[in-house]
Formats: sequence, C-alpha cells, structure tokens
Amino acid sequence: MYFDQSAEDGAAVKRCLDGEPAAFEVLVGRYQQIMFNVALRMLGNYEDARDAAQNTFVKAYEKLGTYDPERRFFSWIYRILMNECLNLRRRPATEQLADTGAAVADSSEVDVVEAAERKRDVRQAILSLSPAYREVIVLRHFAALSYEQMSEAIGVPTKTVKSRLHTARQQLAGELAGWMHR
Amino acid sequence: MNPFPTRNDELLQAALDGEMSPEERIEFEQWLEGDARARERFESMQRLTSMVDDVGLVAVPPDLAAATVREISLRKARDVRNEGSARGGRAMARKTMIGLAAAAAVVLVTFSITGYPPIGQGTEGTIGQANRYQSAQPQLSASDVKLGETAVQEFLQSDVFDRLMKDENARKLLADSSVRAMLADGALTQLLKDQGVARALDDDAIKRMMANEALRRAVADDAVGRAFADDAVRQALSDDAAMRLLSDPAVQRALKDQGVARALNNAARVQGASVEAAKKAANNDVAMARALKEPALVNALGNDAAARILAHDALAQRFADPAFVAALKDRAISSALRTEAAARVFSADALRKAISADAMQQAVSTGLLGRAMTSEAMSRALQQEAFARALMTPRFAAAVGN
Repeated sequence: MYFDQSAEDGAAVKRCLDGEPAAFEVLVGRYQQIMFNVALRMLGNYEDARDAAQNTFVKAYEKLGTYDPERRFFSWIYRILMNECLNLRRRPATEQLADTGAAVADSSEVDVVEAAERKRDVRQAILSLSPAYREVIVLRHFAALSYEQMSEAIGVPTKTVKSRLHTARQQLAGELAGWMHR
Repeated sequence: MNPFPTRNDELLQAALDGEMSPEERIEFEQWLEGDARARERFESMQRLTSMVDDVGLVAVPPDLAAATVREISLRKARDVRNEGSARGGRAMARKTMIGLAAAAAVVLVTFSITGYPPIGQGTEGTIGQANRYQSAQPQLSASDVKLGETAVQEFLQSDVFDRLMKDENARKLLADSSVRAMLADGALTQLLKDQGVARALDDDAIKRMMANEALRRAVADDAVGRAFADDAVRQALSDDAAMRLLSDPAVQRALKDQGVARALNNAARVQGASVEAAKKAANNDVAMARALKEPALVNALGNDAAARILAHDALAQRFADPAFVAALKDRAISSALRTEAAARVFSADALRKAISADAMQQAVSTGLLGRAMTSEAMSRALQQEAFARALMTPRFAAAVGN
C-alpha cells in the first residue's frame, strides 16, 4: 500500500519544496502509522519508537531537497527511519499498554490472557533476532511489503531478502516452538 | 545461488508469503499431496506467520503528527534565526575581510607609494595627517571602503588577496586594531585602483616583514611605520641581515628619531645603505640620534656621499665624536666626502685624531680645511692612495696636533 502512492508522494514533496510546508503534513499523516510500527518492532519500546518516528519525519523534512523523485518515498524515508533506529540509544524493551490497542477478538478471559502472553512472546522473539533478520520480518508482517519492495527498501537483492526471511523464520520457529505446537 | 536449503523450502516460503507463480503453485501442491511431513511443516509455519501477524499494528501515538509538525515549525523558526545570525556573521566576516583588505592595501600603499617624506617638505604634514586619521578613525570600519568600487571588488577577488588572507602572519598583522587604525586611509579606494598595490602585495619583502613578529609590532608604531615606509628600506627588508637588524628594539628606537629617519631616508638612496645605516644607528643609538638632529649635519648628509659615509661602518662610529660631527657640519668638508677615498680617509683613526686636534678644529672653524678639501688639488690628492695613506698615519695626526 505504501508503494502505491509514490506519485502522490512526489506531488506532496514538490509542493513542500515549492514553499508549501503544509503539504508535508500529508506525508506525515500517510506514513506515521507504518513508521511508528516499524520503529516499535525494531526497538521494542513505545517511547523510543515515537521518538524515532518523529525524528524521521523531521529529518525527512529537512532533507527533502535531496529526495530523488525517481525513488519511492517510502524507501527513502524508511532508510532514514532505520538509521534513526540504529542510532537511537535503546531503552529496555517494555510491555506497553498502548501495544494492547490491537483488536483482540478472543471470547474468553483465558483466551485473552493467553493471546496477550503469546503476543508478548512473539514480540520478544522478534526483538531477539539480529537487526537484519528482524527488519525483514517487520517489513513483511507489519508493512506488508513484497519481496521486491523489501529489496528496494532495504537495498539488497531479492534473493537476499528471501534468504534472510527464511532464516529469520527458522529462528522465530525455534523461539516460539511452544506456541506453534499447541 | 539458491538461498534455500532445498527447492521445497523455497516453495514453502513463497507459499507462506503469497509470492508464488502459477507454475510454482502447481509444483508446491504436488509436493504437499505426496508428503505428509511437508503438509505438517507447512501448517506449522503458517501458525508461526499467523502468530507474528497477530501481533498487529499498534495505534500511533495520538499526538505524533501534531508533535512532528510542531517540531518542524520550531526548527524552521530556529533556522531562520540562525540564518539571519549567520548572514550577519557572514556580513561581519565580509566587513572584516574588507577591512583587512583595506588595511593590506594601505600598508602597501604606505610602503610602495607614499614613501617617507623628503627632508624639509611634507614630513610634518604627513605625520599630522596620520595622527588625524589615528584619532579620527581609531578602528577601520567597513564604511572606509566603498563596495561599489570596481577596483575594490576586483582586489577582493584577486589571487593576491586570497593568498594574503591565507597568510597567518598577514592576517595577524592586519587584524591588529592599532595597525589598522594607523593605516586607515580615506584615500584607500582611489589607491586601490593603482595596479602597483596589487603587485606590491606579492612583494616578498613585505611578506617577510609580516612574518617577523618584532617587525609587526614595530609597524604598529606610528613613527617606525613611517620610517619603514621608505621604498629603499622596503628593498632592504629583502636582506636577511636587515630583517634581523630591523627587528632589534634599539634600531626601532633609533628609527623613531626624526633626525635618524631623515638621514636614513637620504642614505637609502644608495641601495643597501639604509641597512648599514640602521646597523650603525643600533650601535650608536643616542649619539647618532643626537648628532643627526643637527640641521646642518642633516643637510650635509643629504647627498649620496653622506649615505656612503653612513654605510661605512668605521666612519659612522665617528658620529659619537663631537669634533667629528663639528667637522662634518662644514659644507665644504661634507662635499669633499663624496668620494669613497675621502670617506675612507675620514674613517681612519689617525684622521679622527687629527680632526680632534685643536689645530684642525681651528682650521675647520675658519673654513680653511673646507676650502682645502674642496679644492681640485685636494680632491685629486685624496684620490691618490699614497696621500690618503699619509693622512691616515699617526704622524699626520701628530703634525696637525702640533
């Protein structure tokens, strides 16, 4: 979905560069959810994710003149976000109340508790991956990017994306074996 | 190289991610149909991906967009302020550079164009003018330079100016407010039009002088600066010995004396003479300065021969001797000193003693010696080595004394 808006993104960027800074708010509105969630899954801390997302938008705005309209805006801003995540001094991963915001459709309290525990373990398992493997999991499962789109965003060949995804899942499977075989 | 351990691993992942081609789907389904463990494995991985997907997206902090826009606005406002400040800074830097350029130009104008005023004309006027500038313009300001002047603009863009500004010593010198105050000159714009200014900036002597801390300090002194303004002195600066000499505080003190400066100005007409003269000034600081204040002597020294005398080490030391100075006041004698031979003779100890003798003093005072010295016969005689040697003998001195 994020890759489909490059034309609109380009137009918003042009408006910004032409002296209409309010046009950047369109871009913030469009990408804030994915940027924040990617940051959250990469960093594991709500406040860190918030800071990373905000810093990413601010830096993107400041560097807007360097944006190449031939590239997808998402790929460009995603690299800024990854740099922010890598540079941000991580606080310990914490259970975030806000992270329970996703709809939980379990019918019983037991199911609700179990689902919460499973999610917690999955989040921890993702965080246990190395950044390169974590990145492909996050992009695939939280940004819904295809192999090709991941390849463009990360800047590696598609086969590397596939390989990393395979390895990442094998590691997750090992971490989450208990949940997988229930 | 296939990144998967087996083809089936690749198909399994493609199936999980919905990235299969129709051909691959057929191949994958055929594999699952014939392999129960493959189906179990696929289901297990489906549970895994499902668990990951179930984590889902988290609601964005409600104020993220607003906070981001606010932060961008704050930074923009800060940048505008900083840019304004930077512009001010750049403007200030430009003013400073212009000021430095102006000072540099005036330094060179002072050195290469104005020169030290000739004896008896304009000295006071120049000093007065310098003093007026000094008091009226304690610091050079950008207003001293008219930016609209093409010559200034060209100068600022020239390689010469670029090199000058990269020269640390030059910058130190020109950044010195006292130097700049001294060198401030309202005629700068006009002077910058002179190509000689630009050429002079490349003058090695100037660069060497600027590299010498003692000289930089000396130039900051009004009187010394004026003395250095002499073209011949500037030429002399290219001489290592002169550089060392002029760095000497004693020399600088001597140079402050107007009498010495005037003498040097004339002495400098003979290339290199100023160096030796300055050297002697250092050696005979007080005596020479006092002697050279005598108007008659100054007049007497206002010729090439006098310059040669100053350049003659041994003879210069005679300035400490009042009798010798008295003899030199005689125009005829000083005229007679135009020749090297005469100067050599006069530098001899024997002759000094002779001159000091009462008889000789009397001869000087009555003009007899002067007339004798200026006579053609005496002139020719002085050219004779034998006569000169005779004059330099103790016997001659004794004869005069008797």
